Amino acid sequence: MDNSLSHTSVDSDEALVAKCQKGERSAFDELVLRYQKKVFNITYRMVGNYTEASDLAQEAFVRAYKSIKKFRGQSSFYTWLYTIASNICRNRLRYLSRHRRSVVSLDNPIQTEEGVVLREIADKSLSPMAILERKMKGEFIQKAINSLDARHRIVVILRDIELLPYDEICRILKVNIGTIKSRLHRARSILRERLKDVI
Amino acid sequence: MNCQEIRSSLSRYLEDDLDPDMKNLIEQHLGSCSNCARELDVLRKMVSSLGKLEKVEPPFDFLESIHERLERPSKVKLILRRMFYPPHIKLPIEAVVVAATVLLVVRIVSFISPGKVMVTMKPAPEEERKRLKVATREEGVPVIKYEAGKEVVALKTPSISKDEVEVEPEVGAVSLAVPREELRKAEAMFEARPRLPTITEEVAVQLANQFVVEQGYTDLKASLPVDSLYFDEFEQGRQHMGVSIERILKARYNSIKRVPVITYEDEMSWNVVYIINRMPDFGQVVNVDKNTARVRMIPKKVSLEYLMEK
Repeated sequence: MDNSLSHTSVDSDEALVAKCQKGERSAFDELVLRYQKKVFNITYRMVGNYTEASDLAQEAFVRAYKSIKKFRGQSSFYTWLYTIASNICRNRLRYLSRHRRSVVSLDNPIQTEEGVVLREIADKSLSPMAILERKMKGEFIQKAINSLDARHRIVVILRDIELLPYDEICRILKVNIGTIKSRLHRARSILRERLKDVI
Repeated sequence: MNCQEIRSSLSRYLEDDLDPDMKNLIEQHLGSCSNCARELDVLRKMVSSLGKLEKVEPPFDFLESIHERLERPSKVKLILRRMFYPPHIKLPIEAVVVAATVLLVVRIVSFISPGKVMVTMKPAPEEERKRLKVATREEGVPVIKYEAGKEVVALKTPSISKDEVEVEPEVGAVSLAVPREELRKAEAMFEARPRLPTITEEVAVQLANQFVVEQGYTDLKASLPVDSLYFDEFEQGRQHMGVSIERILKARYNSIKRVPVITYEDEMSWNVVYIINRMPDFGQVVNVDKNTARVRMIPKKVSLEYLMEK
């Protein structure tokens, strides 16, 4: 085997997981860096709040780390990770709905020492007008997503936002494909109804 | 097929998830019905704008925060520390009994010598990892050590002689010959520790009404069946902290200071105080009695919202 290659080539998820299971923290860090954005975007779309999303995404990684030894590779690592993340989000939403506290919406102003500022979502290129338009549209869409219940929310996020294939979503949510399709259909009709003036 | 039926299939049509006959039917309909065609267009645009939603960058210190969380000591470890530190516990048998009810499984096996009872302790299932490590004997006094994470916690048992300890490291169990008298005394002490009455509905309503007066709330429900208060996940900067208050002993209103005061019992009181004092919205700790693990605190507005929701 060519050893020089292994220095330059990137470790696969499986290799990193194996290293993790042997207690190599740096391998876990590598996995975090690899998936933080994806996991974060799922939690972000689930709760619609930056701080909360960051907290939940971190929690997902912490739980994954703590139970990495139990991970036997029946599915790919990221499927497993997404399952953990979506469960955490659903529990959190259930908790919030029980306690009737809503999470801060995207357009909710933040109080800072310099006064009130509006929440910013990262955006690139485009003209200021286009940015504004897109941002507003994004906020409307997030608001509409927030109006869905957790079960429908996660399906529309995984399918229409993260663009994952159906079989992957089935494995993540551990629900059969028929159920996923009907939830997606339902979620889309609700969103369509709420967004008819924006789209 | 009418428009209603067609529309309910548009989502699947977009996914190309229909049998050819159905697909044909829909296409025919769309050719002749501009409303449904528009509907399809809107749906397609909506789905596509979902896919084009801006990806959001996680915070720059994301990984660092995960490291921080991983380094935080677990709750169980804190309980252990509370129970076993300082190592020279004055009433070791009591500690054994207390520990037994919380963490360990106790099995009374046999009588080995007159007046003594053999008690076997074993880590509870979820604590299997934190195995009993070894029992050493110093000057006739057995010292039982548990490996809890990186730390080794020791439990000295001066009233038991070195011949009266059996260790089974392979199952993580230790057996002690405990003077029956002492065991009974310890059990009695444990039994007699401050009992935990639940807050009555009447008190809860009263308490909440006082809150209402104080905080200007008006829409209080008439009855509030409350026997515990959960305060969970209060945001402190980025961190989420949880406090759960159960077993409320007393809820009263201090008319001089004009504040409600809750007294409750908490085995982790030292820790709870630390957390509560970092959550100004939650309340303020007035007093902690480390012997009875009783905490007295003045809950604040947020607590009221919880109380009212129950």
